[in-house]
Amino acid sequence: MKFQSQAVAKPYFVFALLLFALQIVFGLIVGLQYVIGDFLFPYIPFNAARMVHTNLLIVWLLFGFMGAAYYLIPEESDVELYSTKLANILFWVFAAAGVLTVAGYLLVPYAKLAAFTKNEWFPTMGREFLEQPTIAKVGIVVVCLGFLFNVGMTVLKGRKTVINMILMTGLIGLAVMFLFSFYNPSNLALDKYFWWWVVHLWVEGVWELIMGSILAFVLIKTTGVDREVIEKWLYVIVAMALITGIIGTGHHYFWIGPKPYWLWLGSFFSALEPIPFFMMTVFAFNMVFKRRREHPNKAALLWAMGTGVMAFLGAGVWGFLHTLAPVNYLTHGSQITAAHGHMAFYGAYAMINLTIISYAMPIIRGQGEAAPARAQVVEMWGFWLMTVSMVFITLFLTGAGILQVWLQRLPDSGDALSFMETMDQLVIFFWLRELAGVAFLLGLICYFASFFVGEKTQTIATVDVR
Amino acid sequence: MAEVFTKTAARNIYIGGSVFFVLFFLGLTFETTRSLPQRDHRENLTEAVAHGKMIWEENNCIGCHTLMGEGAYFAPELANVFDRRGLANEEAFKAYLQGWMAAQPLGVPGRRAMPQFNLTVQEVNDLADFLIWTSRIEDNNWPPNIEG
Amino acid sequence: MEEWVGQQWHRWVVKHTATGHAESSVELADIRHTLTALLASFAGSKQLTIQTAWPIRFPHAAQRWQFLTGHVRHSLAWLSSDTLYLPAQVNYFADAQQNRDLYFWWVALAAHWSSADVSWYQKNANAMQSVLNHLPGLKQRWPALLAALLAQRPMLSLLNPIDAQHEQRVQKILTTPTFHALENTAEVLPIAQRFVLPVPLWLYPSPVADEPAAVINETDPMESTPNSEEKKTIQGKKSARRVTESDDKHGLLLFRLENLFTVADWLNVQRPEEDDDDSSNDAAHELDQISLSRQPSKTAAKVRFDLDLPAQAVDDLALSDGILLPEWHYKREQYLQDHCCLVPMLSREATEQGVPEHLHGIVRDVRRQFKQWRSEPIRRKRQLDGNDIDIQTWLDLSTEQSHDSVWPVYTDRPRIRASRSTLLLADVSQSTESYVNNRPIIEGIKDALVVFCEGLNVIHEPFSLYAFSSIRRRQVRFHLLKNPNEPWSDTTRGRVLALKPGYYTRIGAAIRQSTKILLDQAQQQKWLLILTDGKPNDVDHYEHRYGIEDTRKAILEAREKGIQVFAITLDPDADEYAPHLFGAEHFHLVTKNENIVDLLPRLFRQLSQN
Repeated sequence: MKFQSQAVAKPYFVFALLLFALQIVFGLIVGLQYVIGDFLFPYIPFNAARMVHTNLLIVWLLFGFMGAAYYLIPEESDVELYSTKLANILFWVFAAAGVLTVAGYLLVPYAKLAAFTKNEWFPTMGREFLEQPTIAKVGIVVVCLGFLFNVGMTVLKGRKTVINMILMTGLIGLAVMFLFSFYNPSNLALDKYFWWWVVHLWVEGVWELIMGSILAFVLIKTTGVDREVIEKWLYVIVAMALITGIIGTGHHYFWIGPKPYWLWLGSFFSALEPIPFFMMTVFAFNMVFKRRREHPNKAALLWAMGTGVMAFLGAGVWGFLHTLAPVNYLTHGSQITAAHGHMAFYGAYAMINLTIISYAMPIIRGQGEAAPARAQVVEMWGFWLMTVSMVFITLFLTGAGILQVWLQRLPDSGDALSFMETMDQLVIFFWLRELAGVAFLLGLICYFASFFVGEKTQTIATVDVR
Repeated sequence: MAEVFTKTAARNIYIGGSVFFVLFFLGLTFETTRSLPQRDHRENLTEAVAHGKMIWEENNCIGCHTLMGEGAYFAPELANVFDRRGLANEEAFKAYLQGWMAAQPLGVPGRRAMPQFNLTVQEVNDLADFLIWTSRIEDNNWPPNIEG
Repeated sequence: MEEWVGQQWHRWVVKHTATGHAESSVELADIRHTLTALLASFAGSKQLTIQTAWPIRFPHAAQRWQFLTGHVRHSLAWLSSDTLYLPAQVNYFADAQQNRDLYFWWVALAAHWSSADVSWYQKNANAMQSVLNHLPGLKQRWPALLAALLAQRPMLSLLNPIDAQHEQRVQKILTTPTFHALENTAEVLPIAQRFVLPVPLWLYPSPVADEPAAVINETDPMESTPNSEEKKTIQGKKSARRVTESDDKHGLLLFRLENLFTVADWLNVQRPEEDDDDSSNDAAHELDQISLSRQPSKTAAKVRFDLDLPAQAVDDLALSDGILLPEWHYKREQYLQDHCCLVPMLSREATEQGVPEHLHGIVRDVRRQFKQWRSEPIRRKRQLDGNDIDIQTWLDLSTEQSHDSVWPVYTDRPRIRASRSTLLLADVSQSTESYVNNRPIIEGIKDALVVFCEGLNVIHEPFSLYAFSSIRRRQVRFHLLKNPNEPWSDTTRGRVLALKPGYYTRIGAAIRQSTKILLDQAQQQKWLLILTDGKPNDVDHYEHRYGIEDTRKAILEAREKGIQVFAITLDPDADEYAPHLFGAEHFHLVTKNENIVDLLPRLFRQLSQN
């Protein structure tokens, strides 16, 4: 490690991975509830388990981003982190807030949680992904501000490279967009309009800046390619991301009240949204092929290239499949959405976090530039198992979605099956999806195991000297 | 020495493009928020409807259902449940909803289960008002059919 | 922006933390003649002159609110081997008589100063003892002065234990100068992090160099003499470390005033020759000005809102505000005057380094090669007359269709080697961070530079070494590695090894500055070797044709002035532009199989041959 203070990333990464594991456990629970509708009812109803699954996802990704920032910003800026103490304090605050929130979801019915946390004073609960009690949201804002201050001061103190400037822009954008979660008008249409400012402008906006800069950082370090080439690519990628993604928000405004011109604007710009992901893939592959050094961390390179591909497939291709208004009219709110959502989140954001963890953890743990070869092999097994499982999850859900549209949406009223009847027809897909989910869990276990695989041990013969 | 795409040019496109589209988006937002009251029939947004939204949120209905296609995909779409179960009759719908909410959970083994939320009569009526209002938002004729 | 805020703060703080009794102050000017006479009579054989000292900053242990009062200046008296420096004004005490006495004491102490090899505390103690024994007039007024001095000392309870011990020692010496503290007791003081509060009575070592140092020419800050270079201890850590090592017997921190100066002060205020009042006032004024406007480390910001540069507190040290240089606009076919600002810089992190382990072998070889090469007689080929026949040229001419009547086919051995000064300019732009042969390029460049300089150094070849990278035209960073007159030492080697990848590549400005430096050299031959890894390019318009044309123009300017320019390039695509820039014969492209560490010395010898 270039700077001691980069080590503050470790608790963030470790906790992120723990939350990831828990997220998958709850994913399997909700997946099972899809087919055994009263599984764990009434103790953990579906909405509670789902809330835990989605909230854990967001929080572990945030922990991962913070860890990534703490690791790469001192190195890019060429100075120590402004305050390691602050980073550690914020870690515990955020972790506590997260644990308490999830506990709240599981231990009491949601209405009780809302009453207990005095939601009525300033209601922000009860929207998808924003189920956290208002007080927890405030905690998140405080943690984010502290985090931004810490890394911001570091960047101001040191060198401002393209990578850390774009990362800062993304992180600041993340924090600013989150503030919209505090806006909860009693008008549903307005509520939804601005809800998407948090969700879309995160995952199809500022999070892409974060992802791009982390990817660029890892590629520079592992390929030894001229920084200037990489930085130019990064500018182009994030330019395309923002140019397509900002107006691309319109693809969420088709059916919730705004005027019809959004059908055109949203379709056109969001159809172009795959472009930055495509570029990231080409960028990653290009750099790896043109690399000027053989970096020992092969696993990190695999993750980097895999991120590009899966993000492009999940976010780009699957997104495109249902982004045009005429198609979306039929698929809006169906299993197609779920299919796209899973692969996009995993491919873009889960994998970029796993990439930076794969790159940085051996260094932070003092193993050197890479984990031992055996560990890397296990890690790469984890990569393939998880990634292929996710592809299958997505394929099965896509199948389910197509059938759902065929049965429930396409026919006229009267001929169409009801939602519940349609679900009964989709059961096979949901079982297969659950199976793929179990395979994903196995991949995750494999991935965790790789952290504990050491060097080849030598057996020492003991000689009995008498 | 061909003039290729330089880093400066890339940087300028990034900054210029982003700023332009942010401003454009803000302009569109302004227009949308201006024209939304007509489309969502703001005049009908009564206390009851607002209270109904609050109940919807505090019981996390979105955790299983979709509303205007957004939410969880475990349970049916509810933006048009007024049409589906109330047949566009407000009294009928309210009565239906009272019965439905009181009857949960249905207790059918293996069927996706809905919890008992212990809502008062007033709360259920407000919830109904909220769903009725929602169904009347002009949303470019979505969903395609009555099943949502 | 933040520098402005810092300056306002500085002014406010200085106003509010100044301690001193202005109403009872005594001016040196008033009693100078008296003092000169006294000094002459006290000192006897010792030839001491009096000059004016300027107030200095003196961070010490007793400061509360160190960050506030670090700016307070102390008027202290210094003694060098032949000069006693006295402050222009003394206002330590409320009693003007005591302020005046202080001057007399200083003169007396200077006269009774022993040059024995004892610690500075001891020297002062001995001198005090001697004065009290020999000068009853001062002895009479001593108790009152002592009381006043002790009243100003900090309370021991306010200091941390180590500082308190030192303070105690100081007070003990003041009260009993016969206290032979140090040699005769087994007690060793622990090493303190900061100095004790300055004792107004005592004489401090002079911060001024005894050898006259050249006044730095503003337009060419590179031309400083070796002495001033060595005294430029930027961080103070270096000299402090040396000092404590040598004084471990006593465990006292021997005092080196140089620790406290910033580079800016140092460069601009060195005027040891002056001894009239006006100039001494100028010095004091100058110092104030300089401290307010050019102190990189006090008022300078810990953060910087610039989109490219790190904060001044972390960045390398700028040695001046910048030299303005022109740039050639190829389309307009004219110079853009004062277009670039070249900032000479000194590494903040450089420490003294010996030859790195992994280079020991190569350095040994290269030194041997160079020595051997130098001991060979120079042979000049293609001469019209000489002692031997140049077979190669004869063969070449035979095979050509030559119509010359006279063939230059002799070799000659001139006795005198033309003197030569070489300047090696290394490009450390950010592309040097990338890898070649599994190593970052910058590591290869550093190794090559060190090995090359070892070779040149062993044959006493005059050379200088600079590195550059640029951020637009407002900052062409020109890193000083080794000046022409500076010896090659651990310090310069440390600077080379501390090189880091920089920013972009505005070669034109760097070449122009190098030309200026070379022109100032006295040697007959002047060579400029450029080591680069890419095309001229910068973030602004300095790219492609524009950058190449400006660089080419700079090279032509250098050639016109008699400098020979040769480039070694690591860019595999160099064939596209290097012939146009440097001339087909005047560059070498380092191929993948060549190692620049071996190549540089070899190329140098080849160049010398032609």
